[in-house]
Amino acid sequence: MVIDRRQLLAGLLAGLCSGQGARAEALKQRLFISCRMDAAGAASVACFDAAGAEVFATSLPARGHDVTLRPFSAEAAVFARRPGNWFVVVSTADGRVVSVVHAPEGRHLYGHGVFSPDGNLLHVTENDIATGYGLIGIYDATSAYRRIGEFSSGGIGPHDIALLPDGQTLVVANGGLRTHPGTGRETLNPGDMKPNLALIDLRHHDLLATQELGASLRQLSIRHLAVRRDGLVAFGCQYEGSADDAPPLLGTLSASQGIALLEIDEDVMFRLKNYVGSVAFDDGGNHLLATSPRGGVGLVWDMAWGAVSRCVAVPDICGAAPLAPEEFLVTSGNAGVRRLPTDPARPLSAPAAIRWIWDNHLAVLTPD
Amino acid sequence: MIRTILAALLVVASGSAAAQANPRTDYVFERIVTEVVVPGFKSLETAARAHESAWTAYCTEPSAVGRDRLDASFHEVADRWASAEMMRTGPASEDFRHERFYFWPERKNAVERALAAAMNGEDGAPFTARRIGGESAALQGLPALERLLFGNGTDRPGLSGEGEGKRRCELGSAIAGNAARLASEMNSGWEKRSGDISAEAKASLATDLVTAFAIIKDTKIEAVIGDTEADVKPRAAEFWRSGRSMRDIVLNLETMGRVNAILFEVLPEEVALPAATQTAIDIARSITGNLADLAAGPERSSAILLRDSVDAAQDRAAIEVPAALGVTVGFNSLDGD
Repeated sequence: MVIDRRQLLAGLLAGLCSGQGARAEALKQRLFISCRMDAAGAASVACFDAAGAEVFATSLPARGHDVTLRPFSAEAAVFARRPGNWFVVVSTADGRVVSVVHAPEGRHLYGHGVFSPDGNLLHVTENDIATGYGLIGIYDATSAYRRIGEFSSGGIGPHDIALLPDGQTLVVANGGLRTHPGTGRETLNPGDMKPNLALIDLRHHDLLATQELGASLRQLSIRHLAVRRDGLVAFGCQYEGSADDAPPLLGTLSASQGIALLEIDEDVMFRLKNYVGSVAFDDGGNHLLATSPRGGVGLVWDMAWGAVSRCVAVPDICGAAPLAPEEFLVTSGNAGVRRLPTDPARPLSAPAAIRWIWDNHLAVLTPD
Repeated sequence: MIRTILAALLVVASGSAAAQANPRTDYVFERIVTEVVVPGFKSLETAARAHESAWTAYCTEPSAVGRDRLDASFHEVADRWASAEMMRTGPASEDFRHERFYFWPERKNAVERALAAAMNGEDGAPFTARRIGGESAALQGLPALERLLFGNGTDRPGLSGEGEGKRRCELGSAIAGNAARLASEMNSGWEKRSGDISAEAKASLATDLVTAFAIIKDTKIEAVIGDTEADVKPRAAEFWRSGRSMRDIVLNLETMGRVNAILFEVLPEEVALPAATQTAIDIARSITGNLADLAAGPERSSAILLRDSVDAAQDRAAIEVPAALGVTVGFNSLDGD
C-alpha cells in the first residue's frame, strides 16, 4: 500500500495502552514484538510476553511485516508489507513513534531490514521499481533515518536480510520474484526466476558470493532466513511452480558446506503445501522451526539428528521466534500466541491473545 | 490530541469486547456443530464402516453383486465426505486425519507409488488396517480406494481370483478398515467435545468455511477448466476415476448452504452470502456430466459461470462469516509473504 506522508502520520497512534506496570513486570522475562491487525482491519505493532500479555501497542497506517531491533538502543524498525513505501521506528520501551520514514521516489520496500552491529545504519530490502533490480537501502539511524545510499542486493526481489555473526557480512534472500506497485503483489516473472542467497560485504557493499539452488529449482523463491550463533544460515522457500511438485523448501548455508537442502520425508513435505512462511532457531540452535500457514503446520527439525522431530498442526501459523532451548513461541492469524516445545511429548500451550490477527513474523525484543 | 487518544482507546476497547463470550455467536456456533458437523461425521463413520464390510464380504466371496455393492458403498462414503470435508478444524486436524482420509490433490503420483510399493512389498505380511495407518498418507484413504476400485476410469482392476487380484482385495480391505477407523476417530472426537465454546474454535470454524469456497474454486474448478480451452486438465478433477467430480462440488456447496441457514437465521439486509451460495448451487446442479468436457466444449461459458459464482460467494463469505461468528480469521494462509 502506497501511503503519503500526511496519511502516514495520521495513521500512527503512539504508545496506546502502554502499561508501565506491565512493562516493569515484563522486563524480567523475554518479550516479543510482532505486527498484527484487529477484526476491523486496523493494523498495529505490539510488544507482549510469552503468555500473550501485552506490554504496548502502536497503531500502524497499514499492515506491517517484519520488525528489526537496533543494537545498543531502545528502538525497533517496523517495515511495511511489500510493496509498501514506509517504515516506522518505535521505542521498545513504550511503543512511542521515534521516526517515520518514506522510501524515496522510485523505490518500494519488501518488508525486512537489519541494522549494522553498532546500530548506526539500517539496511532495508527494496525494489528499484523502474528496472526491477533488488536494492539494499541504507538509512542513517543517527540522523533521523535519513537515506544515505543504496547498493545492489545481488538479485531480483530481495526479501529477508540478516547479518552474520562476523558483523561484516550481510546475507540476502533474493526471492527472484519481480513485482511492481502498479500491479500490487502479482509476480511478473513466474517463468523467469533466478532466486539466490547473496553474501555482501557490509562496509564496501561488494557482492562476495551468490548461491543458487540449481536449474531445476528456479521457481523456488528463497524468502526467509535464520542465523545461528556459529554462522549457519537456515532458509525457507516458497514454490511458485506447479502444485503437483513437492520440492525441498528448507536448506542451510555454511562456509564449509555451501548450500545443503534438508531431506524431509515426502509425507511431511506435502503437509507444508510448498510454502514456508518463517524460520527460526531455538536458543542454542539445536532445533530449526519452519512454519507453513498454507499447510497449517509447524515443523521442527533436529539439527543434530538431521531429521524432523515434530510436525504439529496449528491453523494459520506463521510467526516463529526462540523462547528458550527446545522451545519456540509461535503466532497465528486465527489461533493466537502459543508456546511450541520441540519435544513432541510436550503439548503446545493454550492459545493466548487470539483476538488479534497476528501477521507473518515474530521477533524477540529482549534477548534476556 | 484528545481525538487521537480517544481513537486509540476505541481500538483497544473493541479488541477486548471481541474476546468475551457472546451468547448469540455461541448459539450459532453450537447449532452449526450439532446440526451440521456432528451429523456429518456420524454419517461418514456409518458409511465408512459399511464400505469396510463390503470389502470384507467381497474378498471372502467375490461376485458381480458384491462388486456393485463395493462401488455403491464407495460412492456413499465419498458423498458423506463431500458433505463434511470442509470442517477441517477439531478432530480432523488432529493426527493429520483429514490428509490421511483424503490425500488430495495428489502430487508426484504419490498414491500410485504407495499402492505399488505396498503390492510389491517383499515381506508378504498380511495387510491390516493398523499397518496401513502407519504408512504414507497417500495409501490411507479414499484416493487409494478409488484407484483400487476404478483404476484409470475405464480399465477396472481385478480384485478376485488367486494371486495379484486377491492381494489387491486384501489391500483394499485394509485401507477401508483404516479409513473407517479415521472416520470413527473424527466422529467420536466431535461427539466427545467439551461444551466450552472458545473464540479460537469459532475462528477456526470461520476460517474453514471461508477457505471451503476458495478450495472449491481454486482446486476443484479452476485447476480443471484452466484459462482457456487448451488448458483444460481432466485429470486434475477430483475423483475423475469414479466420475463424481461435479457431484462433490454440489455436495460441498449444499453443506455451505445448510451452514448459511444457521449463520443467518435472521437475514440482515446487507448479507449476501446465502443468495450467492444458492446461485452457485443452482449453477452446479444444472451442469450434467463432466466439468472438464464442459470446459473444453462449446458450453465452456457454463464452467466459467460456475467458477465466478463460487468466487462471488467466497468474497461474501470472507466478510460475512467471521462477522456472523463474531471473530476474525487469519490471512497468513491466504496471502502470506
